[in-house]
Amino acid sequence: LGRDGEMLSARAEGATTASGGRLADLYLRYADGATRLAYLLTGDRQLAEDIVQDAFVKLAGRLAHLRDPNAFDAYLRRTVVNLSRSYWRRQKVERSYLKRERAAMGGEPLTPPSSIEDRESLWAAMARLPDRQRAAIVLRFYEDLSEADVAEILRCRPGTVKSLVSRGLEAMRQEIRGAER
Amino acid sequence: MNDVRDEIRELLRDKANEVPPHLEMPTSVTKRVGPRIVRNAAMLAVAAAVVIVVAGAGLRSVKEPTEQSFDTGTPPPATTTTCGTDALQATLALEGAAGSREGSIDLRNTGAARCTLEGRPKVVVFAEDGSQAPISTVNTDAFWQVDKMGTPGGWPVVTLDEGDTATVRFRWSNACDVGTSPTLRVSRQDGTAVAEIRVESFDVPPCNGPDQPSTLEIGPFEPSV
Repeated sequence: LGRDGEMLSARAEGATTASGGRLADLYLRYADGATRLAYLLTGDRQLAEDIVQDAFVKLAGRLAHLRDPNAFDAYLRRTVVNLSRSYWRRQKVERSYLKRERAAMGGEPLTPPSSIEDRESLWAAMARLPDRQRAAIVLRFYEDLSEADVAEILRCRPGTVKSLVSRGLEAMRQEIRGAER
Repeated sequence: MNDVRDEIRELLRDKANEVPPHLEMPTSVTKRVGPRIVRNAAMLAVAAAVVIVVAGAGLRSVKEPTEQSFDTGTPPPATTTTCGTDALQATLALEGAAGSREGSIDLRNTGAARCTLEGRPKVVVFAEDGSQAPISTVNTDAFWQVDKMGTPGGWPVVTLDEGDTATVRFRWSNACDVGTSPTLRVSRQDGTAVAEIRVESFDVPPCNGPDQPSTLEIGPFEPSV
């Protein structure tokens, strides 16, 4: 991580071309992990790529001002979660609109696709979790972050993280029990 | 399934491995990064110029001039307008949290001109029937302060080019008798309107005490990360 500090200090001094080179180093180092996180949060690989590119562009403009340049990966993770939340928000509005439209047209309500394989039913169950529960589960069980770290990213208390994870797991257990019947 | 945790860990690892490795930074990122760095540097330069000009003016007002001074030709800061309702597209990004809704009010500059926001907005709640709901407000820190990130360039002034977004940290508790589709009016402290937001039913917090006012926790304008 000390290498990141050197990179960012150099970026603060350098011209944009040099900065681009440093950013490319950071991209190669962190883009894989960030894209995996974005994919687990959104369930959409192309969207995950877009989110990570957006995150790097946003952070590139602020690299020189980061109070702790050694924590670039933490800033990136936080930005990816925020951008994924924006996506969730748009999805929620679109789903609400579609539901109203279908109701107005007398159509059938949208139902989630049924899954056959356990693994896929688990993935589908995760996709149906409320966004904060999903984020808490991904950050706890994939990123292996502490409750305190997850709380900082989700801007809530550690106790809330515990509750989000617990409710998310329970919802997934019930989904799986339903699929097994 | 006795404990779903292990299954989830395994699933997340496997799904994550579906993402192919990145061998180089896409050129699209490189192209977008350059202008942003230049723009941020320009904003810092403008902010520094303003500080120097203001400080210089302060010194001149204290000192008696010994000879007639003349304008040294310091260029004025780049002309910007304050962001108004015509340019800003407002959205709520809230999540449910223990009887409240918390997240942010996001304000995107959809106009072609650069504009600025500064300070802490006022937020007023109008019920679905148009009546103004009783509220109490609490000032909170910005996200960047909570996250212990560096001060954003130019802050507390937030400069928005076309397509840029400003954010206001926001939490709303105890909404009673506002209907399923109330409206939030966001304005500057001087009362100038910034945006109006029609709130979707899922973003309206539950009513915890009908005799108590709604509580709004409001942060200052800040650049969206």
